[in-house]
Amino acid sequence: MPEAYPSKQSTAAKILKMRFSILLFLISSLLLALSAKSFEIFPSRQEEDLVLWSWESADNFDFIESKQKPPQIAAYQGTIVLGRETATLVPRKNTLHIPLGIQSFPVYRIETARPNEPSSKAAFKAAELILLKRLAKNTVSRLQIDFDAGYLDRKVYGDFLKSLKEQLPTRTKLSITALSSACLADKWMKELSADEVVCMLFSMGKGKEQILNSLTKRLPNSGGKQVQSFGISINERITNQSLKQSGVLRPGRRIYAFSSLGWTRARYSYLLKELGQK
Amino acid sequence: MKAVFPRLAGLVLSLSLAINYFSFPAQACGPDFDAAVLINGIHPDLSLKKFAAGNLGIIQPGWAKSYLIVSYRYLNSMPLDAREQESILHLWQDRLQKMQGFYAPASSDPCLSFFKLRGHVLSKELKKDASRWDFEFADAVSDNAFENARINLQSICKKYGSMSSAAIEWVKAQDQVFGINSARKQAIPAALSSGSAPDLQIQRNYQIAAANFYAGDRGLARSIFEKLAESPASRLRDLAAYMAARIVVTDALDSKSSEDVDKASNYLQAVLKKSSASSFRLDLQDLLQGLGYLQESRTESIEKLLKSVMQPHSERFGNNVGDLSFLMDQCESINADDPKEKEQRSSDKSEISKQDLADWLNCIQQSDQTWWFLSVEDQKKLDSERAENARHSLDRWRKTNSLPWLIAALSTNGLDAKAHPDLFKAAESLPKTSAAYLTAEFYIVDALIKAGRKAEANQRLSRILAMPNLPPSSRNLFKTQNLLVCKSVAEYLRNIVQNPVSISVDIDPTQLPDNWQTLEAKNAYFTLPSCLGSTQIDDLNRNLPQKYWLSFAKDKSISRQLRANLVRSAWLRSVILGEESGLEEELTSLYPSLKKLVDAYRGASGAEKKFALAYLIIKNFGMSPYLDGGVERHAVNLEDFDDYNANFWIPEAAVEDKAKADKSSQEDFYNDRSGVSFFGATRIRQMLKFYSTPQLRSLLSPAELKILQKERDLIYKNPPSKFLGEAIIGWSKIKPDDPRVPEALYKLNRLPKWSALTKQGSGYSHKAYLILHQKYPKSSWTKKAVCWY
Repeated sequence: MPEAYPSKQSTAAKILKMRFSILLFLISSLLLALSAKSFEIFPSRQEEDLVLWSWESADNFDFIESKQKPPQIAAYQGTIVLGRETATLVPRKNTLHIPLGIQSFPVYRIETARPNEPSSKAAFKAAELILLKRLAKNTVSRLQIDFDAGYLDRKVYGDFLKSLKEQLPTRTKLSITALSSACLADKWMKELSADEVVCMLFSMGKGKEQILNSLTKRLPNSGGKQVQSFGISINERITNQSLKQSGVLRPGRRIYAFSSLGWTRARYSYLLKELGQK
Repeated sequence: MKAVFPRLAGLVLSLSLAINYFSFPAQACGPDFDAAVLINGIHPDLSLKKFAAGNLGIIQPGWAKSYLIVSYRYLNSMPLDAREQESILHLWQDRLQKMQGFYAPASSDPCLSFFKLRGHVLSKELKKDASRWDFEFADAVSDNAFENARINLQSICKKYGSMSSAAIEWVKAQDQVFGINSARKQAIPAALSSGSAPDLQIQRNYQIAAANFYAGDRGLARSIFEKLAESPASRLRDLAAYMAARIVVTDALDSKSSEDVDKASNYLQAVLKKSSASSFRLDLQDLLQGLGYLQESRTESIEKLLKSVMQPHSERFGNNVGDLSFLMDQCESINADDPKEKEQRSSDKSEISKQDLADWLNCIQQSDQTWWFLSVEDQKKLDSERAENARHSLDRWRKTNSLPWLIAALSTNGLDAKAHPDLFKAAESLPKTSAAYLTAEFYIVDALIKAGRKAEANQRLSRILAMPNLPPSSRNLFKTQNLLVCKSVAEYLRNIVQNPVSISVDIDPTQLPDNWQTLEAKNAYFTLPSCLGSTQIDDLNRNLPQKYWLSFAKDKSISRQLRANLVRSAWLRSVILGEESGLEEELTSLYPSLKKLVDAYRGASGAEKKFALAYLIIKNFGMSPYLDGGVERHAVNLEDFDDYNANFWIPEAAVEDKAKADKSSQEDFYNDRSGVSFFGATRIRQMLKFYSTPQLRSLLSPAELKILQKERDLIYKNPPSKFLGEAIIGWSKIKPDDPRVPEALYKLNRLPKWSALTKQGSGYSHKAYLILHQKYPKSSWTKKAVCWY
């Protein structure tokens, strides 16, 4: 019997094994559900859905309590400035302390030295080399790129992400940020090689009212297959109130949170309260 | 020695070796727009030379401590002498440049200046728009290193010629030192042959020492620097001596031994003795001062510095102010999480507050910014601290009767003649020559406005605004106040026109214009061509009758750009209202690109005239009957599309919607029609908000109010879709072969997306879509019209 064709018997055994696994899973879930404490283990909102952006401020996340499922930290590592054909990394200047057990992943901001001109392929290639060199030492679970791609940069940015994604280890997810307008109307990001698109719902500028109104009718999304996450800022109470009312900040969503002055215990507690977790 | 070494080791480096980075709240990412700065809220106006010389203007609570310390000196009748002024200017300019970070203009970039000279030597001139980001060099190379390298290269160019082999060889060696190559790899250049000119050998040895310093071989670097420090007098010799001293200090800090720190102190003192004429004397003093901080606690250092900045004629005044403000800012507990650290900072703060200057700074300064986040409890605490500061300031003023405390009492309490008659009287009695005069006048006028004593306020403001040489931010603040008390529409229009102190990217923390360093070199105030203030901009757009728009548009005393905007709006209002404006000539002279379109409109009649008018408007995305404060439409040209939705117009409601106005949020900078940016204290921001109370209607006669209402009704009933749609669709039926029609129809189709989505607009969009697809199926405009809105 050729080995390429599994025998009926072995298939049946596999199905049986699978059924057993399913049964085991169901039983353990039931036991867990019956335990009174289990309800405390799973709060109303899963905290792994929460990511704190640690931007350019001296952050120490020791205040995160280990008994809870902790948030992840999206740790800003620096800004890559695109020149005409070069890219330069301006590294993070402030300290960052993340206690053991808290997952984190790097974030790089990309800026262009000439915002009114299209960025060059060569500059993006140089940026790619910087990123790959920085990431070569450790495999990270996720890499986030924060770039406000202008209209003229779209093609070259798309190529950059594609090439970057191809060279990242398979287990490294590529996350990108997006202006809210790009997730509501102009869905040019749908084809981009990213696993996650974070729609930025803060500092929305003049179109803010319009965007908040449209959120009551539909949820922003990149239009592609990427996981859709949302970015908020704890500085914008009124905006967040509106996002809550329109259901954007509903449990089950992956939320990124920004704090302009960095994170402290009080700011984190406030965020959890805002998100209905405490 | 107290056990403060580890904490202060970093501090010494920060203070003395160069403050490389100023922590500033991170801004959210997003597009950065140009905005007009009408009031500098975090630093005084350019040129800072005027301020350093005692022209304080209205002292603002949002200014950084270093400016407030200088204000305190002048308020105490302790003016800065020339040396003190020079040293404080050096501190401010250095800090502002570092704060600018990404927003630093290329013209003042030492890195780019070096590459320019290097390019010249190598006959590779840089492109006009070159930026530092176009070059590859090692991360460790600082701006100071670029500046020193440029000076060294310049001296070689001067002696040997800019394209001489000496200059080229120097550049090649420096490329190795700085790692100017695609791998950004640094290397140590080879020594010059013994037959080379002595000055070139000194230069090369300096390069070798610097390369060793970068490579981490500090011992070798120090010995070469020390040898160079023995060479004949030159700037390079002084620099070498400084570098050797810097290595000694760094080694002492690394060793963490008090013995080594003492040795380093002795070494520095000896160098200073020998270097009385060194160009780096102040830098050497900074190193020594830094080591001194290691022997003290934070409060001890602050207390010493508080005394030293009040000593007249100090050579190190600027750097003492720098160190003091740095250390005092560290006592702010806003970002401390650890309760112990929070407590320590708070106890340090109360300890140092025993000294008058520190107490005054703690009371008067309000360094909060719009993007600060405070939890409800934090906010309550801050509010109660501020209330306490206000009470304390009043007490201190009553006890001391001093000018600084008078200003603190005014600034923290505001002024209310009934609640604090003594304070009001004291403020009123200041002579014009007093350093506190303008600040006091600002609060007096505010009190008069709030008490409804508008005539008195107007009288005072007329006197103040007639003063020559007012700092521009102060002038704009007084003009903003005047908008609430003026006696006529003409006066109102005179005051709403203001000259910005800067056009800056709205998130640049320094709010400086691009060429600020050139402006700093002059001893004069700097302003840009006039624009409109933003506090009353909604009032102007809603409540100014058309006859005033027309006269305002003809005022030739205002800047060309503002007049262009005004003429555009006034002309468009006239055509919407169906009136003759007589502004077509002005319009084409201010916008030459409109000439053909205006001529076509003027030369046509009947339906064609209406169409020509609609075509003229719809071809120019910036056409709007409304004006913005500051920078209009993100500085996009009239004919260009604004990617951020400032295209055409949405009619203002015919009747005020008070509920909507009240809902307007305070949480970010953006108002619908504001291209103005203000970074500064919340208290001033709140005052500006109060000054946005509409005034125009109170200046109009009943007859004018009636006319105004009719005009508002008519503009409201003519949104762009309707106003342009009727003419375009009408003409497309009469003259379908007019080549302008498909373009006009396409734009009409998109208009709801570009202005406002309304049922009426959607109807015109649909009609335009159908006509395009039925009558012009092959037109390129039809291909772009894929749906209606």
